[in-house]
Amino acid sequence: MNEIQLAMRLPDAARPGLTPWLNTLRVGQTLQARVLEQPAQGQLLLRIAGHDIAAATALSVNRGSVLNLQVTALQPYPQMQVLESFARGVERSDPLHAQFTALLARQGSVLAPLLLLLDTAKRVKILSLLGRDAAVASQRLEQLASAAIPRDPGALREAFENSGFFLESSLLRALGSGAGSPRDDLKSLLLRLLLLARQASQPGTVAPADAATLDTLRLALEGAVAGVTLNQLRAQAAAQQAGIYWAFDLPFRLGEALLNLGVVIRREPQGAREAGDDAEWKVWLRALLPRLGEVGAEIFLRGSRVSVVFHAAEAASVTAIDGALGALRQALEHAAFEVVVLRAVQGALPYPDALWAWPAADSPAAARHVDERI
Amino acid sequence: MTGPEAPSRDAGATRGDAQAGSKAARMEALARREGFALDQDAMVTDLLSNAGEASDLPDSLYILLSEVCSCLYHLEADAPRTDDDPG
Repeated sequence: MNEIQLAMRLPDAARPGLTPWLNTLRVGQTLQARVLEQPAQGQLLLRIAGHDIAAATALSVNRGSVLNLQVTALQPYPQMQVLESFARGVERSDPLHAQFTALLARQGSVLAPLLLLLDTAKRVKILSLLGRDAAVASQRLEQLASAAIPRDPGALREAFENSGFFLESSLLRALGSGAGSPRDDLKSLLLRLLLLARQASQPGTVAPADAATLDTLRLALEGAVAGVTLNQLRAQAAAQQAGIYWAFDLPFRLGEALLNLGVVIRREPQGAREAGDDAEWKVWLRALLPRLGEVGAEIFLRGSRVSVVFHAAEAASVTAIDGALGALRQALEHAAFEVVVLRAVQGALPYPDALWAWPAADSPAAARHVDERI
Repeated sequence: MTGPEAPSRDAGATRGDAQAGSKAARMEALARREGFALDQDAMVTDLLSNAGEASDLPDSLYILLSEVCSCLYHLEADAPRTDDDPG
């Protein structure tokens, strides 16, 4: 494996604009970095998303090289691994490659625009600049962001439907059925506000201070839309290989906090002997929670057989999760599942290669903890 | 087509592109009526329209994932599960 850990030094966060960007990073996110220089052994100066950032690494690379990185942890410092290859399985001449590269540079967290709009003072200012049409979209966006973490199957399905992942397919269905309006989802609402922000930002129409507010909003909206679209594009690349690779960022409320639940769902490409109930599903859940810290779960499902391995960065969180496994086992068995593996371990969740293709089934990431394929 | 022979590969590809472009244009028009612009290449719009829907996932997967989410919720909220808990 040509994967190497990078660690950004937080003192760099003192630079203007860097802290907000660091706050938008999420685990599993993929980025491109250009190597500006290697000032000393073990150090790199990288340019990522327009920011110059020092990094510590054992990697030796040439100046000017482009690295493809995936965020693997946020605490205590953002950690990234260098991905083996960019757009594996996709020809560089593929026109989608250019789209993908542009989106990588723009992507941000879906939480960024929501946090702006949930801040009362900023919302009042923003809505006054965007006009009356923005109020309805903003209100609907706030409703989506006020959902709790989905704890029943219906709420989870609704969260997926609201995520924006299915916007284009629901537009196509609406056209086909003549039903008219597709449902409002996260992507359509972000795009509605983005259009209004661009219209309001026409040169000469706003004061410089207001222009800065609109610029901040526009960048947050563009970043969030790019993040959703990247998830959608990855899914389509997987679909071409007859598999499913769906990635969602689901905002949810927990008390006063607005948080993100990252979900990646993968179904192996099906052979003739692996249809229906024999299909093997693998899911990664990940969240940064106020009390438990960085937690994740690696989940297998085949037929009624399930395995779940929780990962937590903090030892105390592992202990807490361990204490809840009995109740979870009972709930799963009550739901007619056969539990094969159920445990909690300390450490980072091995995350799928979130580029175009999934890791080979025999790769260490695919089999690190749940070592029996069910 | 310039002769009796079958359409060339390029001609087929061009027709396919045109159909995709037309579909994307109709989707973009619907989006505009809804008050937003898709803000992406027509080829991307066409591709993403194949995403399927949430109901493509099996019910058992939804049940399993919601149980795991419920477990994390109760741990984070420091509230034990109860019989009437939605999770």
